[in-house]
Amino acid sequence: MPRKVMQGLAGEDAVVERTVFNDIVTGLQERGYTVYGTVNEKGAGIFRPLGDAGEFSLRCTGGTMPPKDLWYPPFETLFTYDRQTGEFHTDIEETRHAVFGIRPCDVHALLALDEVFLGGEYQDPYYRARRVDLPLIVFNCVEAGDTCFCSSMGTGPGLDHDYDLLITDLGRSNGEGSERFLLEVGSSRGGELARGLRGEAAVDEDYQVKKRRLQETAAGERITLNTGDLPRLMHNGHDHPYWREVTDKCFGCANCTSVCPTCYCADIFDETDFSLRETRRKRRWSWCFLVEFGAVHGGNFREERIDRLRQFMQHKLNFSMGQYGFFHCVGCGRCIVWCPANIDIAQTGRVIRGDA
Amino acid sequence: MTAQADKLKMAVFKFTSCSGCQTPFLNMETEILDLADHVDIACFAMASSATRPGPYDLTFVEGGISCEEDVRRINMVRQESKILVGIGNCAVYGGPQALRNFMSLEDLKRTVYPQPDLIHCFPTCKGIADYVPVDGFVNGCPVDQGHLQDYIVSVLLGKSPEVSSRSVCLECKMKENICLIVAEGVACMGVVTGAGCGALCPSFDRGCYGCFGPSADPNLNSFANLCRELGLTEDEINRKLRCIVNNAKAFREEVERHVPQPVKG
Repeated sequence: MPRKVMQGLAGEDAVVERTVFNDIVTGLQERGYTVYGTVNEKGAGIFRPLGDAGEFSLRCTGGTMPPKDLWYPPFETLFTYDRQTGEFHTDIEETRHAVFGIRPCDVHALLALDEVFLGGEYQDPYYRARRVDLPLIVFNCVEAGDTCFCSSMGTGPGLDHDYDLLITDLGRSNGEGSERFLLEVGSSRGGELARGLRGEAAVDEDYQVKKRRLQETAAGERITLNTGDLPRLMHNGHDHPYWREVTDKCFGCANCTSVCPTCYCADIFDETDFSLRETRRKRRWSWCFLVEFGAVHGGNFREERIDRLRQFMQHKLNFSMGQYGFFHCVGCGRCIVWCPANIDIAQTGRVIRGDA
Repeated sequence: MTAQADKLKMAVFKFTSCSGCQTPFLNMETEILDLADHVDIACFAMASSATRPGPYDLTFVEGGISCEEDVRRINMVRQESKILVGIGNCAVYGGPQALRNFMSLEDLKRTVYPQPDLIHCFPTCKGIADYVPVDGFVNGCPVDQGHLQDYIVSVLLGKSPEVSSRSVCLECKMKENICLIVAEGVACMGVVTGAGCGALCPSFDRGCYGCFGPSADPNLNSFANLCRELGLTEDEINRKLRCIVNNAKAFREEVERHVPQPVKG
């Protein structure tokens, strides 16, 4: 195999060894980025700032929580208000975060949030400040998690756009030798990171292996959901008896929405300390699953748990299509994993559409 | 510095309780100087024996109502208070001591005291709202200092205090704790318990004990089923629900649904 030193061009590729991970992480750090990657803690993957690539766990599929907090933190101060002078102060700081090992489903979730926060007439400056410089080192999934159904939602297991660097685990040649990873450059920013990395030139066979591994991953997903005509079928299924059945199991804890990579709702509140000198207006994640979410003067739009559960799932599998033109479920399966009542959005979709 | 007469006149009273919900006021060490600029703490016996009579603008009440004397005092406190706020499990629900609501008082007296005849109390301990109109509550066992501060600041600013229907689960998720139910099979009460503690116990790998009482719309029936799936006996489930916030309606009714109620003495 010919040795190759990468030039750093978009569209360039190479087959590299695992040692290159550290070069990439170090390269990002040298450019001033805080690099987040999945770290194995108590048997689950959690996105943490990486010291070096050795801490990164390749086997953690998507991470317990999505890396959403990097571009949309659970709590943030929008502005401060000096109660004595009446002056407002907004401090929007551009962050320099990078994600090493984000998965295709989470990239799609990020693109969904881009549409929400930056796609319309009014852009969210807080979101933009965190999004503007956010290198994504994407790992294609060569192993399906127990609750993954990205291939049903069209969001994985492979990605072919919106990455800076894309890495696919090719395994070992004939099961021996060192691990081989296909590294693909997707942007000039990715190219800068790749420049000078060493590997072998990728050949047709490497792309065949990539294709086969992604096909095998998709075929290995145990959860499926036929999305054909799904919004209309979900709409028609508004009064399906299955909603009551799952509601009877549902604790109403809102874990599902809290781990969702596309949930974007927030509420706004003020915080003032005892001195009464300064008020901070804050934004925090909120969810349609909370009783308070639908509460307005004189009543509540979604008084019953069944209304809130149905709203969550209908938004993901139905309303989002009308609002944005694509599903706000990326099939990451986190809401299924972390539901203490074993409620399964894909199963619900299948039953409502009449497939189960 | 606001003139004394223009300050919010505040009082803290204790009824049947352990005093643990008054302690957060004393723990406001750095904040207390700022507080003194705007608030006149006129009556707080745990902090100072120099108490002054009402009326008070804002009164916090800790403790449940468990005897005639409590009833007389809570009516007096209500009359003297513009805004009356119950703080903690005892004032909201009756507290851990409301366990006696589910037993024979005479049996209990004989078990605990050498001279049971000297004990004069009701067969029940209940929250203050069972006796007087209450303007607001702060949950917890004990309450969180930050929640008390928020309440005082909200009254000073004339706005509604923060009330959230979040479950403990959401605090776990914000801390990226690994779910004890899903990962460890622990019958954690966090799924049916209101947030406020910062998921204290689950953060140390202990299942939630339900200290902040039921969340806004908890599904106790499903929680009992979960406990059964995890191998708990009916007795263990009842003990779990009657552990700390035993007299909260949702927890109490779930126990009553599947155990015969003992005759009260």
